[in-house]
Amino acid sequence: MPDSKRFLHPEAIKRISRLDLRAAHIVEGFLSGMHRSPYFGQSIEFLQHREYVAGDDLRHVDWKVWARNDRLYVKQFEEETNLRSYLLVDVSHSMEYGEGVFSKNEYAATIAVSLAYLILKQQDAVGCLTFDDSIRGQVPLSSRREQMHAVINALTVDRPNNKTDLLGIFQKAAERFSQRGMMIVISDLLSDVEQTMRGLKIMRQRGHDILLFHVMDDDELNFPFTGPTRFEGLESEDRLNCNPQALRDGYMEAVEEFLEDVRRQTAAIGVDYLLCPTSQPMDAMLAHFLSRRISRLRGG
Amino acid sequence: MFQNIFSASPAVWAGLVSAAIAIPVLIHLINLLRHRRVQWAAMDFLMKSYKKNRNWIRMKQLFLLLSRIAALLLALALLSQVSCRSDRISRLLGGGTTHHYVLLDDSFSMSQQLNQGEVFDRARETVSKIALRAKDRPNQLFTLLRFSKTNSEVDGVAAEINGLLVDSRFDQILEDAKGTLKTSNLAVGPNPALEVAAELIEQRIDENAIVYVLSDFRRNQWQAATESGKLMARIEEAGAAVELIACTETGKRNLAVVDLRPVSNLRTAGVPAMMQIAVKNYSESAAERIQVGIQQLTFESVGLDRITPSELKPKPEDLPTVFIERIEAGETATRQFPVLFNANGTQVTIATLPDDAVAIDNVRYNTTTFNSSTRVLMIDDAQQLHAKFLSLALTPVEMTGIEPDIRTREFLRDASLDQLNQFDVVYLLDVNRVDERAVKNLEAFAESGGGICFFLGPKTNLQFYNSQLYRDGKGLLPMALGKAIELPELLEEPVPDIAAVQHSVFAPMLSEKNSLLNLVQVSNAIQPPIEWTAGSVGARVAATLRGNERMPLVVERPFGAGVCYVVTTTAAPEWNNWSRNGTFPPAMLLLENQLAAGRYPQQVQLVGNDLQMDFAPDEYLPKAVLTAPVAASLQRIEYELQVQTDAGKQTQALQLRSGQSTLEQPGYYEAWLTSTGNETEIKRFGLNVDCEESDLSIMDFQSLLTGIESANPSIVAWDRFSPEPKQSSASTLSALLLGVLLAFLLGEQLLGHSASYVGNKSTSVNKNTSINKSTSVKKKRGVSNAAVGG
Repeated sequence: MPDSKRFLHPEAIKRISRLDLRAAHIVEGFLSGMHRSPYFGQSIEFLQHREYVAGDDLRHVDWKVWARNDRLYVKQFEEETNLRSYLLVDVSHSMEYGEGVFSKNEYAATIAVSLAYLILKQQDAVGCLTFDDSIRGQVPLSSRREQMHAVINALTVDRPNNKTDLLGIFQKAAERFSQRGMMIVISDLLSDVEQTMRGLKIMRQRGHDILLFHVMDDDELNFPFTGPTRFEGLESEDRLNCNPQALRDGYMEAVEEFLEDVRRQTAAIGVDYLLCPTSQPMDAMLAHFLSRRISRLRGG
Repeated sequence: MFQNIFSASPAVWAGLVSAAIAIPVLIHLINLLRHRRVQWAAMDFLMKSYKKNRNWIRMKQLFLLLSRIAALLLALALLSQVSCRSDRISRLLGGGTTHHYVLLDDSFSMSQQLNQGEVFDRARETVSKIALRAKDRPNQLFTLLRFSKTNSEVDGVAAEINGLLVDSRFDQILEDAKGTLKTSNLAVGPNPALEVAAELIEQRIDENAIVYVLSDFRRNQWQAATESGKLMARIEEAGAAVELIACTETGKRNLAVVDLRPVSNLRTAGVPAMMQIAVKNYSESAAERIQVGIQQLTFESVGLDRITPSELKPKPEDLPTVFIERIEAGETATRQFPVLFNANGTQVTIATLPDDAVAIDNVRYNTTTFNSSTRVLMIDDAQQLHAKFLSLALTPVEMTGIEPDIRTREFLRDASLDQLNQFDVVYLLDVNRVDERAVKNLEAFAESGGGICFFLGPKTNLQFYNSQLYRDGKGLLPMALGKAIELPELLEEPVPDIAAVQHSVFAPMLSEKNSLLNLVQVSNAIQPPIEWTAGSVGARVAATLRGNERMPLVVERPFGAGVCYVVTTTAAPEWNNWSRNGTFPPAMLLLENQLAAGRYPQQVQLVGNDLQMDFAPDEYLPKAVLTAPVAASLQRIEYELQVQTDAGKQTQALQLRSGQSTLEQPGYYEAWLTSTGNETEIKRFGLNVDCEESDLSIMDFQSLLTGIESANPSIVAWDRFSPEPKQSSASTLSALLLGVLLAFLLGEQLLGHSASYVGNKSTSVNKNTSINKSTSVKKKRGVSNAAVGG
């Protein structure tokens, strides 16, 4: 790991208690190796020429260069930062679980604040919405510096203990955020997959670009429990006395099936999906996400 | 402690078994209650897995419970063997009685002298070690069986100690038994004892048996021990362990008198007789300057009616020592020496070597019967010309002891077989023919060991001889007769008329350079038919005329126990001048010796063998006294014996069985019989040790185990034998139980691991749960990452 990224490990991030500082640490650390925005798009500030390749928009061809050199070049500009981003963060009871450095809730909040920091740093507008089975907190869109604190307050203050109703939330979000923008959903998705997908599809139909961060604890992914154990549902009344080792294979099979289902359906409706184990370093997660985001933008 | 527990009442047993069943059930229930609580988000996945695996999980838990119960019951079973008496449960569990079978080699090679004591002392000491092995353990039985005593049946089993329980009285009983233990004078191998042990073990299937074979493992007995190996394998198949314990590590040089016998068949009191002694060197180096002491014991045969057996004392006389300069390793040296007994009857000769490694084989006894004279029958015509010349040859002086009885052929016609049997040899001297009855008597005489010699001549009826005496090779005459021939005069280079081959009759003459035998002239003889050959009828030619194989002079052939000779010329100087030649008397004496050989068969009687003497029931009273030698003593012991009557055979039998130990001491024995005329008669015979046992070379352990490859015994030197029991001697069922127990424990661990009843590794506690984070989580992170990356 490079020195600049050394402090982005969850163990190190955890030591920073304030979310804003934590986000700044993550984002600044992540960007320390970059010199400019990785976004290329329409802007008033010219960046560079690039030789035309088949598929490039003819509107970007620099006809003057063609006239002088009889060769086709396209113009590239610094992207104009007019992005509207909405953070939809799951704060239901199931997000309270966490065995590692972060609980899922803490991890989700850290991701949300980091992305808000990144977006605000790009001079874009960001809003936030926390939810369980209903909306628990909302921060309107804004690109002001103070927006950061509003987002943090929305994430840290409200800790409801209810179930998740992703379909209802996504319907409400689609209604509230009528302008097209980027919906950044951060949740453990422990709800009915079909309902969740229906909600996501509704948002997509409204023209929103959706980034889905699927936060899961390592225990949920690996199920390492041994010895007689009584499992009590965080969002259900289910109680189970069992020997976990005997159920592990079946559990892992069910989890794999769930993840595969989510991956397949999110891909089908054009949602950028990323599984985020709570032990995963956040900069790597951000880099992975952004690179996929760029490739998607370039693709179309 | 265990003994107190397990020897308690059945109620205790029931309690223990119930506890063994109840404890795992309780543990199982406690485990079910002793769970951790985890507040869990992904309950849907967990419930899905639970519904899918519910039946299998319950089954595994049931197996786990049963395996724990079984493991406890097995452990209980193993512990219970500590003290179970030989009841059914004990046998079932493989515990109970352990029977120690000690097979003790008491053959006389075990008497080999060491620097201190003898090899057998080591064996005795090892018996004590084995007893010590059994002493401090419960339910131990002890059997001590000697190699030499397997024939004597005592209470169905031949043993010094037979299945004795090792308890507080055992030490004293063992010490008493050891006090009487000594080497026998027998050359017995291990097989009879192994056979008895195998039978006992196969009968007593409820015992754990260990068979100890204490022996010196001499090469001559163990080199080809295939049969012993099979018996050991049989013992092992019956579930017993076999331990071989070698009581000596080196063999020593040993000399033994292996033979002592009379050479001469002319055994007349007052006439010197030649005896032959053979000494064998059982070692890997030559022995030098060996001195063999000779003693003769002369017994008077008169006045026996007036004395008791204990009062009969022989007249001992030491003869000159026989000196043997050198005997090469493994070789036997023979020497002859004369003895002279002046009294009729069976006399004793004793040869003694100086002390060496084994003493018992240094002495050899011979009993030879000497008569007042050796009677021979000569059948001649009335003129007795042939008989006179032959008599003169056989009795050149009074010292030969031969007493010729010259008769005509009519005597043969009238004589009974008993009358003929009073003679050692019958000579038919140019007899024309004999009566048919006489032929039958003569054949019976020869069958029983008598010797018959035919001298042919001008009166010989060739047709009769061929038809009645030769009978196509089945009769008495060794050679078919062809025709009488006259030997032509030799005009050129002179050739001796008598050409002898290597034969005992002509041996002295052949060893001389210018033998007088060359001066013998034979003018006439009877030639066999052209088609006759000696080999066709099993005959042997001792001499020919002028070396011509078609003209045999002396031909011999065995007939029954006896032997027949034919001389193709006359005994008198009628067809030859041999009887006037100086070689005639010695040749005839040697011929007489050969002819009488059937009368004195060389019988070697060994100690330990059964002995039977038959008597006519109308001649002797049915009782007898046997006097036998006593070991290391000049005293003798007397046994009253009953003579058994065999009605079918019309004989009485004096039967002596070796198992009665009366025939196990080498020496001379006397059977005192009383005739119906109230006269006492002594049958004297000598018994000697079997010198097969005299070879003291021993087998090395590797060769020994190779020789008994069908079995797999352990082998150890006597000084390395430990009283501590070997693991291999443990009960096979116990080992099986232990193996099953270990298998159950292993299975229980695997099932327990599978059912997650094993312990946890980490102790970190979360604010929400008390979940312990296993290190296996980190190891499996790669798997989860792979899933994420997809």
